[in-house]
Amino acid sequence: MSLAASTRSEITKQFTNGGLLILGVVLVGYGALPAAGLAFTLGGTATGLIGGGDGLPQLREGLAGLLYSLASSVGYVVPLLIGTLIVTVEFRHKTLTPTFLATPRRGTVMWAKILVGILLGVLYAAAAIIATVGTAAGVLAGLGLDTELGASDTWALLGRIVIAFALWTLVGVGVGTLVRNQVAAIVIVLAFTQFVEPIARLAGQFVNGLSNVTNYLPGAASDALVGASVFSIGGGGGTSAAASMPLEWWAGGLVLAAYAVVFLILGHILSWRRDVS
Amino acid sequence: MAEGQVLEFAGVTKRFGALTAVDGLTARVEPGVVTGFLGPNGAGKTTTLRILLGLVSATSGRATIGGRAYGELAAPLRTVGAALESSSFHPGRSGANHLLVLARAAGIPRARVDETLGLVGLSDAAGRKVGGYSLGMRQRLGLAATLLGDPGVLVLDEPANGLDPEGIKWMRGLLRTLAREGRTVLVSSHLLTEVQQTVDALLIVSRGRLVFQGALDELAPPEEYATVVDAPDRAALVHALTDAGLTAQLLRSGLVVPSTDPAVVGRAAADAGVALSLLQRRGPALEEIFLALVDGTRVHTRAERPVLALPAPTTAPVAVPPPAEDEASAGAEPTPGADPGAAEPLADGAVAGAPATPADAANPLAQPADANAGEDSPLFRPPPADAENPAADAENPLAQHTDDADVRVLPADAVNPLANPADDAPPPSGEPADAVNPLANPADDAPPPSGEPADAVNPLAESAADDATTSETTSDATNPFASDAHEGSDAHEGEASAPDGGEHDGGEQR
Repeated sequence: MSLAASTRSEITKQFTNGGLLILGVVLVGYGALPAAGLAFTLGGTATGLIGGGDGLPQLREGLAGLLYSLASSVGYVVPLLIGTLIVTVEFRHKTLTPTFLATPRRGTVMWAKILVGILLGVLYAAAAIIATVGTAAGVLAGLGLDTELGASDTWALLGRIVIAFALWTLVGVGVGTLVRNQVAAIVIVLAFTQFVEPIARLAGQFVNGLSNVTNYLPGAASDALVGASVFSIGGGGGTSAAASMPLEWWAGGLVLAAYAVVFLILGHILSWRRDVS
Repeated sequence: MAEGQVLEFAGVTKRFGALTAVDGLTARVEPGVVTGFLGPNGAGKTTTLRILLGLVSATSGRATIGGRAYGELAAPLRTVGAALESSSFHPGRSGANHLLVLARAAGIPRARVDETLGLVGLSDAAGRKVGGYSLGMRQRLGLAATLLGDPGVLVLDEPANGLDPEGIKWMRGLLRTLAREGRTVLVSSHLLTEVQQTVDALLIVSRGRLVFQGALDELAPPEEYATVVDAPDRAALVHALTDAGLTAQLLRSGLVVPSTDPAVVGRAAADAGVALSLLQRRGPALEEIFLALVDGTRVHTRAERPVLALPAPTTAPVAVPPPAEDEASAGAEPTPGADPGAAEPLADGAVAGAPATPADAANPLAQPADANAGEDSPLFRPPPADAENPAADAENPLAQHTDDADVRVLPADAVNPLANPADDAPPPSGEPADAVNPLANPADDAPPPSGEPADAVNPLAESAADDATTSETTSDATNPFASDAHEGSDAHEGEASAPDGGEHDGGEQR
């Protein structure tokens, strides 16, 4: 009945339905593959392995951080989905009935889900970092480039990735509560993260002033929080006049947290307190 | 064990847009007895239960458990165990883990999970994913969830759905044992026959309104009992009865003499020197009465409620007969915001044809707990969930226990009446009484209930005598409404009521 008991119950739920592992495997692959591919491509280009000559030494700067940040800039969809599923699975299998019977105070259940969301976000961040950093650092080391694993900046970056994952899970919990329908929620999440936002951000780099808006999209905020992103490769080099500076890392974190809070509050008011039948 | 609590519904109303699912329901459920909550599909049973459990908010009114709303309970799972539907499980989670999730939320020790799985006979399937469970196994798992916190109140929505005959029998024994231990047991069903061997008290709802509250034996007034008599020489028997001034109706299983005691009939036959082959007292088909109540062709006003097991803080009469004009136009929009108190005075004056039998009702119900109940309890030796093991039946000590524990649990062949269409009920075959059965369409040709209630119920009694009747074992002191002959009625009524229930489908879904 207490928040602690409810949270323990939620944790038990997440570790007993098999879904956690599947998404974990997806996440590892989703982080490791692009990390390996980009590490070879960018690292090879930088060293001259690809394209010949002396390569492009200017690419070497920040390359490790860029590659490591793939964990969140590409992998963020996974904690978002996890957060969504934590809630929609209860609607889908009608398990809200036993859940609310065991804990009739719905706010307590919501808080438990938030806490479990943070926990899962951290766990998935660890998995994603191990997959991405492990792969990228291995390739960089193989190419004779600096892995920067000794630098405090790198570890700060990894810490911000963990924060981003936790926030993404909470955004997911909010979205799942609002949308309720599992299939619809997954479609919305995938369509927005893989299609709508990348296009909007790409447009933001070429259309004057648009980036002032697109910087506040959740994916852009997340990248600002982490501090490096493959999306900054395209126009981020300062070549495009339209590209404005991204948000400060802390501002990006606040924007992402604001998405989470708004969705959670809306979900609680509009959906969570409704009749369960 | 948690104490049994009184469940109270006070003017509970729930509207979904224009539809009133529950309309001013006022009722009281006592501990120590099994209370059946009956009504056709869409009558508002599930909605009412969900309101009680805080899952659905009432538009107005209040439902409480021991005086508190569900959300105010300090330890809900240890106070109330509820099984609402058999599909509330994550298919990828094992049965044991489903219970573990609930146990964690309620602070119940993990050991209780295995214990509870043993109680419902699911120990062998504990580690299997629920997605692979049969419907009966899911029902058992749902029941295990209700028992997890050893609560004093059990609320079960259609618990017999999907259970095999053995499981139904086990469930009945379990519910009776739980009630005898002093717990409050509320069981919903859309079939009276499904629960009439188990329940002591009844709530019947129709279109969101309470149409009956009382003991099972209050459902049928004594005038509706009849005597079935037969003799090898039927002509002589008919003659003897006619000479004695009795009217008899010829049915396939014998002659039915309505509203007459067997002693009178036997005397008439003896005086005429007719040797009898059958002399039996039969009650009306409770299912017919149930359907008539539900259709509104019969109105039942309960007299002052006998004092039951526990002292009742508020013994206000709660039966709320719907106004007659409302009944006459069946299907009319129920009066919104009907004040349950308004009908209160009516509850005191018993309507003719429905006298209460307080002595009968009070006796069996007043004993909440049997000292030995725990030892013989079916709780401790459930049958295996695997229905494909018929041998288990013979070895299962439960069968005896349930029968010993209470004579109302019927002989084995009566346990699943539907599966076993009655030794003494031949299939309906052009029997005249069948054809004229006024109940076939009660809404159309039954007289309005307001004028002459006694007349309104009489046709029911006659049609009821058409093998679809129940017999009363009056000799059984502990059990005035035991019904050994129910299987005939059950088989018949079960079929008859099915299409009726179908018409109401849909409303229940919301």
